[in-house]
Amino acid sequence: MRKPSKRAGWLGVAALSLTLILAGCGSAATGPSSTGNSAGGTIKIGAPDARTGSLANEGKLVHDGYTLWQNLINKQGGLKVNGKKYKVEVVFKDDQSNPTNSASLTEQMYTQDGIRLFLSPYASPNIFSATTVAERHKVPMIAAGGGAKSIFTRGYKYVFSSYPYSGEYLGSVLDLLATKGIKTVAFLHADDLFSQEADQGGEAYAKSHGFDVVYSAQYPSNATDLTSQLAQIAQKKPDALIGTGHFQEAVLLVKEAKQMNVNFKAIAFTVGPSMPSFAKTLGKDSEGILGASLWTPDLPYKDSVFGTAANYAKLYKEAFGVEPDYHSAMASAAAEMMGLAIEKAGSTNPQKVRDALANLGTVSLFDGTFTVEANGSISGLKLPVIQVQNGQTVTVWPGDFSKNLKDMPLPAWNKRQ
Amino acid sequence: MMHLWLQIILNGLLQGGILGISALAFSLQWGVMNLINLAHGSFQILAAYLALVLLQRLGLDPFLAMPLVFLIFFAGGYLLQFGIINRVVSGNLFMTLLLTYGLDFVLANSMILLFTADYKSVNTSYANSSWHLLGLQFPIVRTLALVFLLILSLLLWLFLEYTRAGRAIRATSMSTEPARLMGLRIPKVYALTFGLSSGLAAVGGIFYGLSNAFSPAAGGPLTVGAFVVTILGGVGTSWGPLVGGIILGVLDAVGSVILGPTYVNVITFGLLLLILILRPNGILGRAAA
Repeated sequence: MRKPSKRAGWLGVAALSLTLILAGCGSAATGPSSTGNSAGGTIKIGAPDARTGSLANEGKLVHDGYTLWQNLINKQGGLKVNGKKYKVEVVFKDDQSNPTNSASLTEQMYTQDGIRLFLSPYASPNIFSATTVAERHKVPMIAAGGGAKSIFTRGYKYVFSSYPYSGEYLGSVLDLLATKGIKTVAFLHADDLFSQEADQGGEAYAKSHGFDVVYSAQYPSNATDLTSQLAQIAQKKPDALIGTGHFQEAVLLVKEAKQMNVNFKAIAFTVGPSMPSFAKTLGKDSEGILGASLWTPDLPYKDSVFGTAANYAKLYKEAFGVEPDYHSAMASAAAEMMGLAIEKAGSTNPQKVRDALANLGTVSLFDGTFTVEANGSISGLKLPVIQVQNGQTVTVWPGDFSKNLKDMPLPAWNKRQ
Repeated sequence: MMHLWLQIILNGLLQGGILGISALAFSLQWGVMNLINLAHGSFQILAAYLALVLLQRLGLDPFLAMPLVFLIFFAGGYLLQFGIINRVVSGNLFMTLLLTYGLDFVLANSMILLFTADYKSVNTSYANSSWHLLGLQFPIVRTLALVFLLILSLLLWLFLEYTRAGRAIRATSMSTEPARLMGLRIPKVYALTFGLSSGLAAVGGIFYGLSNAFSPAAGGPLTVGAFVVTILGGVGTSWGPLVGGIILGVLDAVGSVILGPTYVNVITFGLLLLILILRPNGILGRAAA
C-alpha cells in the first residue's frame, strides 16, 4: 500500500550496515582460527570478555590487563616451557556481558578452537557460568573480576582466582576508620552477588571490631532514587556511610546525600572512587571519599615480569594511555599466574597446568603476596584503601600510607566551596 | 518523626516527576500507534549524552539546550518513524517489538563506540543542590522535573485536544481505517507522533542525566520504568504519566522505608499486577473497552 521512499531505503541500509559493523567488532577480536594450544610455537589462552553490553566498562579494563601481560611476555621472548620459549596469545571473544554467552563461548573455544587454558570473563555471574564449562572439560580457568565466594564453594578443581573473597573487601576500610575514632556506621548495599557478600563480610567485620552498625539495608541494583533511605539514615546520625554497590549507585548516593544535606565524617564505597570517572562525574563533591581497592601503583610489591607496581602503572599507561585501575592489575596478575603455572608445569597440558596452579603455594607478584588455597581462591592479600584528593586517587592505607589522609572528618556539604 | 515522613513523601512525589517525565513519550507512542518502544530508554540516554556534549563543548546549560535537543530528537524521530518504523507498525505487534529491540541494540552499542562505556553525568553547579523550604529539602533538578512534567502534560493535553494535528493524532489512535477514510495520511500522523514523543523522551533523558550517572547500557531499566508508569496511569492519556509516576514514586518511597528498599521492585510490580487485574486500562484509562 505504502510507497517506500528512497530516504527510507537509505536509512534501512545505514541501519543494516551499522549492525554489521557492530557485529564485526565483536568477532574481529577473535583473530584467525586457532589449531591448538601451542601450534606454531604459540600458546593460546582463551578469554570470554565483555566487549559490549552493560559490563563493557570493566570488561575493557580486564581485556587490557590480559593484553598487557601477553605483549610483555612476548616482548621478553615468551614463556619458557622445557627450555624452549613460546609466544602467548590471549584469544578474546565478546560475551556481550551475558553470563550465558560466557559459558557458550568457553565451550566454543574448547571444542572448535581447541583451546585448553582459560582466563575468565569479567564479573562474578559470568565467571560462575564460564567456570562450569571449564570444570566439565577439566581445563583450568583463572578468574579475574569476581570474588564471589560461591564460585569456590562448588568443589571445583579447575578454577582459580587472583581476587580475594568479596567479603574481605571492606576490612581495610574499617581498620582505617577505627584509627580515626569512627564508632557508628550505616551500610547500604545493592542486591547482586558481589555486593551482598562484600556487605555481609564488612558488617560482620565491623561488629567484631567494636563498631556500632546503626543502619543496614539492601536496595535493588540500578536504583535511581535513594533519598528516602538517606533521610532515614540521617535520623540515626552515623559517623560513616559505607556503600557497597555499583558505580552509578555510588554516584547517586553522593549526589543525593548532598541534595538532602546529610553529612558524614567519612563516606566509603567498594566500587566507584577507584575509577577515574568517579571524580570526573562528581567533581568537587567526590573530594575526600574513600574507596576499597585491591591494588594501587603505590604498593611496595614487585615481580620479574612487570617489575614494581609503579612500573606496572608506567607500562600500562604507555600501552593504553590511561592509569591502570585495580581491575586491570588483577587481570594481569591472573594472566601472570597462568604463565607461572605453565612454566612450572613445563607443559601446556591442562591437567599439568592445573596441578601446578594448585601447588603454587605462596607467591609474590606485583599486586602483593598471597596464597593459593585448596579450593582455588586466594588468601593473605593486603588490600589498600584509596581517597579522592584533588580529583586523583591517593593511597591512604595500609600502614604508613595513612599519613596521606585528608579531610577526616569530611567537611559538611554546605561548608565546601 | 512527622518531619521525616513529610520528607519521604516529598521524595516520592519528586521521584514521581522523574518517572513520569520519562513515561510521557512511551505512553504517547503506545497509545497512538500501539507501539511498545523498547528503544525508549536508549533514546533518553542518547539525549543525556547530547546534553552533556553541548555542555562540555559549547558550555550550553542543559535547560537552555533543551529546546535544541527537543528539535533534534523531533527531527530524528520523525525520520525514523517515516523511514523504518512505519513499515512494520501496522502489522503484528511482535514485529514492532523486534524492530525496536534491534534499534535499542544499535543505539546502545553505537553509544559505546561513540562515548565509551564509561559512566557520565551532566554535572552543573546546581545538579546536586537543593532549595530549603519549610524545613524540607527540595533537590533542584527533581523539583524542576515535576514542574516540567506538569507543564508538558498540560501542553500535550492542549495540543491533543485543541489543535488540528492533535485531533488527527487522537482520531488515528481511536481507529486507523475511519481516520484514513477522512483523508488523514496515517504515516504522516504516525511520524508526527513519533517525532513529538522522541522530543519528549529527550527532555526526560536530560533530567535523568542531571539526576543520575548513566552509561550507554542504562536504557533498559528506563524502558521498564516507563512501561510500569504507563500501565498505571493509563495508556495514551495526557495525564496518565503524571498520575502513574506520582503514585509509583510515593508508594515506592514510603514502602521502601516501611518494608526496606529491597522490596521496591515487589511493590512496583505488585502494583502493576493489581492495576492489570482491577483496572486493565490504567487509573485514567477508559473503563474496559
